[in-house]
Amino acid sequence: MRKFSPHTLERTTQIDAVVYNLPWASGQRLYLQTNVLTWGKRVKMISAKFLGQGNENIYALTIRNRNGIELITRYPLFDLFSYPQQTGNNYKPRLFDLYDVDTSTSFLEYFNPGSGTTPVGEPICSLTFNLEQ
Amino acid sequence: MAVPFFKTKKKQMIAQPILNRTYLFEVPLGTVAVQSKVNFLYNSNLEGKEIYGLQAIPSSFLAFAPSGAAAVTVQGLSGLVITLSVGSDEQLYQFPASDFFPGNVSGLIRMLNNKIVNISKSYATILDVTNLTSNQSLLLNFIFNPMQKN
Repeated sequence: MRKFSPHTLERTTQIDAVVYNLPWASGQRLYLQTNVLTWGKRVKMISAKFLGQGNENIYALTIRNRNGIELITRYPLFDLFSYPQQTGNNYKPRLFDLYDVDTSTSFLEYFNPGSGTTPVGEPICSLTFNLEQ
Repeated sequence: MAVPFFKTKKKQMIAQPILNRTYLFEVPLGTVAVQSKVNFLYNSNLEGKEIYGLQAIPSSFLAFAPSGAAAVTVQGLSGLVITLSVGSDEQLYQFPASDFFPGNVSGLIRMLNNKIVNISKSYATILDVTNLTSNQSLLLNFIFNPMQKN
């Protein structure tokens, strides 16, 4: 039997997607930039790092593959935070097995029926995809 | 002897599930009252799928549900019990909702060992309204296998 640890990622490539804010409205979608590195590859781990704008707990991540199938539907972004932003002992790396991800049709969505004061165009977070090559 | 870890079809032993598909499921609580049951609504994304992980998402992780309703708080989860109807013989499995919040269990995701959950026959029961308010929503993140089992 092959030994397997969730922390062992063989030959990974890291890509970053920095998402910028848009005018504040509930259900607003913030699409990720196109990145061909995920095409035909498997995403094994996703971690998020917020870039200091606050209100971290209103975002959900939806990931689609290149066939348009929704693999991950509204995953709470807070659960993908990388240490040490995640407080206490809550942080555990989340492992995925997502084939042929299309970042250009994947998006962050935010749910907030109230109004906000976050400046438009400010970076929200950096998403790191670890790929199996 | 109980196996402490999740065993995949490839005979790999891991402590946490590998997420193939996930779906954020919303359970609107409506008017909260002690002992009231809130039925889960039919969802074509989850019906008949093998569920192998479940997370309860409190407001500290996602403040609002997709509908715009406020999410249940961490404290509010402790007043809820989730009952899942499982398999063709509809066995009922009951769990405290707070046990599915990773923050309460060292960040781990609870695993269900590929159970086919009858979503529309599952429900949440309100046991304590102290930390709940009407029209909040319980958020459950289902982790499931894309292969549908007949």
